[in-house]
Amino acid sequence: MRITFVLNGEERHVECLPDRRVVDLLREDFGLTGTKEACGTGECGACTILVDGETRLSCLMLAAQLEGRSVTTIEGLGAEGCLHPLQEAFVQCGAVQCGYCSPGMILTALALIKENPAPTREEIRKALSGNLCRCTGYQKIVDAVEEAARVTRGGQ
Amino acid sequence: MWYFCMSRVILHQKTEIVIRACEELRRRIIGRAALILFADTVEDLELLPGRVRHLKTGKEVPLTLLASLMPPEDRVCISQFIMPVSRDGLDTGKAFVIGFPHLLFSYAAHLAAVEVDELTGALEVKAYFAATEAGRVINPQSFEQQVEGAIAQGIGYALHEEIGLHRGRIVNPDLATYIIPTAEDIPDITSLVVETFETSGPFGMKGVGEVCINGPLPAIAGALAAACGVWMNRAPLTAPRILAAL
Repeated sequence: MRITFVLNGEERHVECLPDRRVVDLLREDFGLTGTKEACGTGECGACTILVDGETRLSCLMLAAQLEGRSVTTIEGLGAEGCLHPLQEAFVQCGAVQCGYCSPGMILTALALIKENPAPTREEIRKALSGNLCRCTGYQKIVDAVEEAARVTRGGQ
Repeated sequence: MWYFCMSRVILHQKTEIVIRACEELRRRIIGRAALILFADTVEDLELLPGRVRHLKTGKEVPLTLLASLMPPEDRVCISQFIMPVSRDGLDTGKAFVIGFPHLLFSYAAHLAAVEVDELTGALEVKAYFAATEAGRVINPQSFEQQVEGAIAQGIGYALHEEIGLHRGRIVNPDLATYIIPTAEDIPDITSLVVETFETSGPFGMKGVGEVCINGPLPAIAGALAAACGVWMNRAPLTAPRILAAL
């Protein structure tokens, strides 16, 4: 079937099977390999994307569900030489180790900051609790989200 | 607690070998640069990022040029290093005739503050402190990353993680049933570095990879004993096990 949706701000049309998984559509058809797949069963959050600004697991979504929607992947944040405040904070705070969970963490954090511009550490931990990380112990990820929220608010 | 780990020993060996091979390559590059820059002595030459500089005249020669002038066999440096053996006469190492192959021991002290629900047996780690001695610290942020990541894994091993087996098959082979900690299960961790200089180590390091993984289980079990008076003798310390022991 023909599907029309907005991908990182640009309208796209794609011809594909309606039951193609969104993670495969993004990674294989669009070459956007920033979205990661780990468990493939909706447990780990590595494949998190934003659909109409809300976090969704792209391993559990089917292509047909994207019709008319707006999708943001990690490639939609920042630009070459100009990182998004969340990406910048992740780098500065050392919130990235192996990096596999980072795209999903950052998109989840983006949705959180949009909804709650001044989250407490507890609120950040709760928001990130669907995204597993085995390397960092989460502390520096929480630091980074705190810092990015501060920068996004204008540095207070 | 004391601790050792093979990957850290291998890191130590590899680093030492790489350092030696790099020193040899530096000697060759500078020797080659001396010919081009007409330097009287290699003492006046300094290897800088991407170039070699003659300190007396300020003249420089790029590494790309030097590399193009070096025959292929000169561009490869091979080095070897035999791992020193433990200075401690450990009882467990007596069978090793050439010496116990662990020279380096990193040390850590861990403190855990826990809250136990006496009705359900659920245990929550509320705060965590770790002091770590692993030789010299080259990159403090990486050091902290290793400590924090290891403690989170250690808390997982202490509280949740257990492979279930039934007739030789793993019954919890996925993240829905083998539970690892989320951001809500790990408290803020305070990490204190006790920095030393390891004379046998590369640049004074020992390696901090996994020294903190082993701390959480005894620290949390100790906290549970202090709070409730029960010493658990089986890990992980799941709620049903704690409840049964209370």
